[in-house]
Amino acid sequence: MGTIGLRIVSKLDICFLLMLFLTSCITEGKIGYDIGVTVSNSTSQSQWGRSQSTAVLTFHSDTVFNGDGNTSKYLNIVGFAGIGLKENTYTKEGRLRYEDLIELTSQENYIFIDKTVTNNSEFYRCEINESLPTFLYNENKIYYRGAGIRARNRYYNNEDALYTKYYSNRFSKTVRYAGTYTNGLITAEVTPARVDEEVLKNSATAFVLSSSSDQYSGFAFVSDSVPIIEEIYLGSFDINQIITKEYEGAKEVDLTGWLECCFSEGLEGGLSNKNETFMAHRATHADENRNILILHESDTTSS
Amino acid sequence: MRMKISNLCIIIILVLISEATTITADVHMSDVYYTSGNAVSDSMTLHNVDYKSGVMIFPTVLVDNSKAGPVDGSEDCWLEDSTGNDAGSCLKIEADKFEYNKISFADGLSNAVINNYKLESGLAQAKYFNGITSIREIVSSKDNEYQSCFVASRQGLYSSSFGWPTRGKYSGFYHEISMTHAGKSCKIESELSCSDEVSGEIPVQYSWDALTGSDDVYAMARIGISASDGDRDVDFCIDGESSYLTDKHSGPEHIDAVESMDKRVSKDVYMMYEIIR
Repeated sequence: MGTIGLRIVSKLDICFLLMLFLTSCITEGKIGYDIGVTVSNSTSQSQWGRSQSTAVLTFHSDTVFNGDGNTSKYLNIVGFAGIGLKENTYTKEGRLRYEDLIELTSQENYIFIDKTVTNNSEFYRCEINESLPTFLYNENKIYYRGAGIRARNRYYNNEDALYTKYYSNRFSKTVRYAGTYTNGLITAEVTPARVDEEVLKNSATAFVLSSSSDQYSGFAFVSDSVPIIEEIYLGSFDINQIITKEYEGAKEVDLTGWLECCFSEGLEGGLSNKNETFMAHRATHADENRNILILHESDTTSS
Repeated sequence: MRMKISNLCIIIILVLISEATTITADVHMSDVYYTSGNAVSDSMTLHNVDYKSGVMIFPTVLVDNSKAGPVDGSEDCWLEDSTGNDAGSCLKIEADKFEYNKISFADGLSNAVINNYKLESGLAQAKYFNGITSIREIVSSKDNEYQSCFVASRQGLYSSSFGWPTRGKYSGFYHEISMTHAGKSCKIESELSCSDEVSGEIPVQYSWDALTGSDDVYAMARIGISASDGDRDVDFCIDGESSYLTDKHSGPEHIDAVESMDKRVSKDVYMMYEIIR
């Protein structure tokens, strides 16, 4: 298991540039699969594939900037059981206060893949039973006054993605994001004529946004590549947005490897100690052999 | 030379089969599995073949166990399987009756793959390799009970195979081993054929075996044939060539068919190459 901790406290004078890449692809401990199949006969052809991977890892980053000048920040966390985030923030001359907290924990319990081909090699069936408990929490606060800021964020949990985009001279934003993926049971049946896929999983996403911008504000929530919410505000607007999505479905073989560390320290412990308003706790339904994340929004901050 | 011509014909047939099977493939799987940063790729194409695979991936190790066989009563059955990373194997079987089993495993540092197969009549092309050694085998079998096992790992390669005729049928085989080890290469070609004409009731007996092995320093390849007289004429031979020795020849040997026998006559030939790094 890898543990990475990062704390940055910086006073800005003229120009500050921060780039942070965190991807399981370049770590030594990538665990997962990338499978694909093509089933064809003389008249038709079907394709199906799925990828999933993670790295056993604990990552912590706590960043604070405060000062005057030009800044640029690029952040990319990708490849942890389909959970990640991406940030691009640029500011022209102005006054900036920036706070960013990232907690990431991922582990792998097991992946079982059963494949069969029958019916004269025209019927393919794949069943994937995976347990990749992964948790990502991000808390991002920006306060800016100056010649201009451009801030773009993307948060995603497998097929669910949240986007924010801002241009502003007078800008403040507070974002809290929590994404978790525990386990999944994926079944696919492929014939030359059709593909049937069923995904049962235990995962959850919670997103709380509070922002104020005097020029451009954009927000989108996309699921399975289908836009669910798209909002664009031109002018001076305050936005308060709460999004939660939860899946309960796949039964897990063994629940003993769950992420006690993150829920006790990262959310309930760490944030409540900071007198924050965002809390989460885990509830185990022993009778259904399920393990789910329940997020509570107790008091959103208005901009 | 007769054997050279037959080799050319076999290669042409294999190329034609390869082209044809690419067009008519029914199921093609292309998978990669990761554990502890190590990756094992697995590519398989099936035609009129049933297949079953179970993969287990844990944080420090992965295991892939798969088996395949032709659909009952089907003709034109074949599979192609390619597995590995630093060490790996490729196998193509085209036969109406065969059994195939593969076990592949890997940890964070290395991987290994074990292939087993049996076939009666058909073609099998196998290649197994690691960073130092590469071995290729081509087997064309006609009415034999042939089985082979080959193993590829970073530490070395190993294979063992043998065959004998299916009772009461006209039979023969061609078996070729090409090996490259530390820049040196060798090739062994063996062939046996029985005549169509039957004279007598005591069937011809023969068997052949092939063996390869390698480690960091040493590699070897061997083919042996043993045949006894019976109801058909038998012709067999083994030829060898290498990049560091003069060509070798064992045979050709001929055993006449006999109506009856008081004492069975047997002939054995074998050829072996060794390469030291």
